[in-house]
Amino acid sequence: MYDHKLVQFLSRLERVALVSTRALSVLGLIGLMVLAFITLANGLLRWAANHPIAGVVDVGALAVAIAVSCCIPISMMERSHIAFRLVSSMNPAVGRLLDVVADIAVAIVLGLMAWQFWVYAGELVLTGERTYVLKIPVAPFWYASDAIIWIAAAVQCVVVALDLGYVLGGIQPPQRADHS
Amino acid sequence: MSALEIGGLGIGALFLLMLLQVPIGFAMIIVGVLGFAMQAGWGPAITLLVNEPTGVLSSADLATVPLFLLMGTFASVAGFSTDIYNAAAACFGHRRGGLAYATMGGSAAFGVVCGSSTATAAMFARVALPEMLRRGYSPAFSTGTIAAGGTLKSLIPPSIVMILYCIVSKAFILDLFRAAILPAIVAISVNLIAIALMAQLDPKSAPVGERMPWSERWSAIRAAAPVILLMVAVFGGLYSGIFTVTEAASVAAVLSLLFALARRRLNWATLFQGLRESAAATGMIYVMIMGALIFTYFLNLARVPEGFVGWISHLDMPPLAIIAALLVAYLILGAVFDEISAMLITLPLVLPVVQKLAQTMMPDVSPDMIAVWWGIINVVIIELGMIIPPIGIIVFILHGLAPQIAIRTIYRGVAPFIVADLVLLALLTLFPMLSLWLPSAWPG
Repeated sequence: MYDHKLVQFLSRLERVALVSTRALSVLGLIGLMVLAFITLANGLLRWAANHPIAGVVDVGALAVAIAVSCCIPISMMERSHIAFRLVSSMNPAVGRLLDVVADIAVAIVLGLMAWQFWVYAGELVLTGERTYVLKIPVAPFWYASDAIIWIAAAVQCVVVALDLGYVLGGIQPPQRADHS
Repeated sequence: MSALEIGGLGIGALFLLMLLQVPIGFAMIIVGVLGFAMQAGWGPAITLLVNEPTGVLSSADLATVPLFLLMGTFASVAGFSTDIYNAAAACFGHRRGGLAYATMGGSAAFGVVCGSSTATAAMFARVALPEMLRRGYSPAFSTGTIAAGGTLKSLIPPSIVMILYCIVSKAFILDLFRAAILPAIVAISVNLIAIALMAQLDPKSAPVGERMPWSERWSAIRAAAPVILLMVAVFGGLYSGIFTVTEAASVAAVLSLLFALARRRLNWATLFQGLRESAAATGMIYVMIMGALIFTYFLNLARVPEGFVGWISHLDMPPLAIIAALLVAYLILGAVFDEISAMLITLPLVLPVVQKLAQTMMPDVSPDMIAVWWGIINVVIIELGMIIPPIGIIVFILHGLAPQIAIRTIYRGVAPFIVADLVLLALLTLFPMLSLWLPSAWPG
């Protein structure tokens, strides 16, 4: 009974997190493709008419940061990060415990990173930093990136919960890529 | 504590975290921040968690990685690998070993429009393997050729491995792309020679096929025209100087999307699957680069690279022998874990040593150019690592796609190509000008 409820809860949690992170990543890549179109147009105009689009480079770099940040939560949820899984291959039970420890370490790093991004964006507001060409404030871009890194940290907490649930409930976790 | 002791402690901590199954990118971040804190205090150390990541996330150079991954996704979904293989098979299939030549040439060409070696090998396993087996090619020869063809991608610009190397080593991407042209031609040549020798030594493994009429050949070539156009646009724009690397990556992503749409080969399911995989790979690569840069920062603060260079300088060995020992060490390291991770972790230590040693071998070459040469060597080692036992990732992918062919059969087929790659590695090490001539002679 306990196992059944736990399995149901974990699978629902996993499904929600997977759907959300996948949607976010597709949004990020669509944003990246839009930037690619603009970058291409900029290159062609510079080459053909010696008239590049103003501000593509300075705003582009900041927009890329947001688009790429959107890919971090899915990489956590899909567990696509390269890990050396020697212990798991030798003793799966100990490996599952280590996975929980590793997940917690990663969640702490992401939490600290999100906090530091928040501090950094706040400093940019105070200094009033703007882009070189279009003079657009830089801080909102980094607040957006920061929000996505907080999402990545939250997603990693879901991963911790899932892996902990697998250990406590004695449930077989899904197969992970082995890079050892 | 001496620099070497701090470095040794840091690397020991890194391996401990890796053994605890912490993802390698995050393990490098943790060790980098903790190591930095031990030397400079927590205040400056914690800012590494924002200074390096913001630089990485907004890097125009690194933005080429997801764009080239997207190009590969669209090219794969659009079936470009089938088109290019069919064209090559129509032209060369009637010769002995012709389908193997077609696979090698097709993989090299598809490598230009696909961002990943494993994806190239997987594509050709689906496209070429059934045809080769149907025409009586031996399973070992067929899978060996496909695996070797897949590895070529790393050395063919635009290569994601090269971009990652440049981000960490601070080498110019375009210099490395230029430097890769001759080595890529040599790599393709030695692999084609390996095919020719195998077809001569064991004719039954590579039978002669039927000659196709010219009308069918033209029709196959016409079907592959969009891929050829994409290659010309990416290569031409990049090497002629019309586009920057970022713009060339944008051209590649946009054109491959447009071609895939025009050919009505995109469907939502495969497109979303491809986008999801590209996004997950992008997230992983970015975290790895953040980790590598933070780890490098820690090593540099502790002056570990200088300490390592000093220690190596005191060894009573000729520079070439030390470089050869490093290559052997990389091959052994690649046998136990991911080669790109191995490159990123060791680069801050090894590159200064190589620059110091190589300057005694080639005093006229600048340290920047030595970094370019070592980049090409690293890429060839990564290529080798993908097919070398016991963990050749491409061999495992092929076995996954064709489980009826035993892993040892695939390794038997791959063996001649490993020899070919070792020959290539030796040539590039002994004759650095193979890599350095083009970037130094390139106008502008």
